[in-house]
Amino acid sequence: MIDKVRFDNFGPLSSVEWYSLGGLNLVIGENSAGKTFLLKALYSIVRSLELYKRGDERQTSLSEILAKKLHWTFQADKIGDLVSKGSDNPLLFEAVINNHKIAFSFGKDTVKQISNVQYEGPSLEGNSVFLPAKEILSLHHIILKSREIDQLFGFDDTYFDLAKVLNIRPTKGKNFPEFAQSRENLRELLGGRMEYDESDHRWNFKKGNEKYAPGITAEGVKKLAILDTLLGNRYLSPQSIVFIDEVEAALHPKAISAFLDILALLAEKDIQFFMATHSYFVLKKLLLISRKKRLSIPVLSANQGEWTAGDLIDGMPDNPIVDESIRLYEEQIELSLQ
Amino acid sequence: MSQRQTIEIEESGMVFGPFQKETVFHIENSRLYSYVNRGEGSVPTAEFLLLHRLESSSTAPSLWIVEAKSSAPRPGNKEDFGTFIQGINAKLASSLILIIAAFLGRHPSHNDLPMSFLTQNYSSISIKLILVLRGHKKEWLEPISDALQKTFKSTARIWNFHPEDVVVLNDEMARKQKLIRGS
Repeated sequence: MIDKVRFDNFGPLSSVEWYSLGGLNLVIGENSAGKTFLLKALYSIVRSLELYKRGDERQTSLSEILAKKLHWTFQADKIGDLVSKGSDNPLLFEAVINNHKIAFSFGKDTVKQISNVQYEGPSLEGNSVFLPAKEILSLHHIILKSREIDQLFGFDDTYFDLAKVLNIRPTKGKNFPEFAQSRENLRELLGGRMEYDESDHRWNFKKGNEKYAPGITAEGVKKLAILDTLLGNRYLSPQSIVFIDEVEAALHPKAISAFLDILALLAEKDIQFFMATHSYFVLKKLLLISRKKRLSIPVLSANQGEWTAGDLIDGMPDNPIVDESIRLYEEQIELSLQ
Repeated sequence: MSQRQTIEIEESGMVFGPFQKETVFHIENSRLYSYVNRGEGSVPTAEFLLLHRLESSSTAPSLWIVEAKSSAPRPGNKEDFGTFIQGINAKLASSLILIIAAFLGRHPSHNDLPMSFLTQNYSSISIKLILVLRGHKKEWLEPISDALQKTFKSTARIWNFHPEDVVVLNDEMARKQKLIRGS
């Protein structure tokens, strides 16, 4: 579990400190504020710590894994391009994950060598994943070919890693009760499940006895099906960290509520979530979850380059999403008077 | 055995209650209100205070401060949104301060709060600030609730309650909460 993070001169994150993180964590802010960037950066670092010394792997250093992960996630020619534009100071990252500190820094001229990664903890046990805003099931085999065979930029590591793990076959047997309940709730929401057809290398949505090709399956269904698949193939486990960009993407407000209830249930079994959102419904629903469960839900809010940390347990933080809802209401009143 | 006295309050075209008399303080009809509004200037206040206890609950009551309105900014009328929100904030916030001041004995000669209000534990009582809008559509309530809660952030921190304890209802929802009489 990530307990706290600090970014300095890390792309659009000129100075961000976020402490006392919880099971559900939310990032809000306007377009181009750096929300997706922040989630991708955290994913890259966490995934590097998971791959470091995993199994019998002893040959590759953490700094090599990290540099490669940053390269393929941000797809910059040199990782020094991640240093904030116009800054002469080096990029700095610090975090405490499972009570172990990780810190590194590098300058804008760094090509691929991060020389000062500080980490004395063990390899992280869980498997973390990044769920992008766009669904990937219909592009699944194209993503794999583009990266595994052609080694091209285009689909970054968040897409590639997810495409790879979706190939893991479902595991039968008893799952954690919270996971089993979550899958049941997801099935109820979906009305079916996604199945991989080995013969034509594509995912189909199966509802009763009917099969639907990915092209005619709703985007929201595919998104929910990915989480169901990752729980079913046991890729996700307690200690996993799930990063969800635009958690509301392709979902109806009712489905958003049900989806967030499922995430809250999974968070009770030690899966940690980091979500970015533009949605009023996501904010409102999480506010209700926070109050109902008396649960801390840290919120990091970006406003014109400034990042402010708050917590939904203290009430709705000032934010442009709610402000816009109020402004629209006022505009509606104005218009009706003309 | 004598039956407990009940009270109804008619405000903004709605009939609130019936409530047990000792659980209600109708602010505008009180000596306390007349006293603090003597002379020039006036103290904006809500309609009434209610010690609200959930049915079949033995827990301590919560303090509801209730303001009623028959009109509010909405598509089709001419009320200014910002002025409306500030006005409601002033009424609810002043009412909260007024009852605490009365409880602390700041107005010993003019304090006509019912005894039940004077025996509450104000250090832990749950506080709800409630605005009831007659005839307001449900879909128009949310932005008013958001805007009002936003103005209550500092007050909520000072008195240690949640901004979400500021609640906006229409008459239909208030009826469900048994705040106003069923038709």
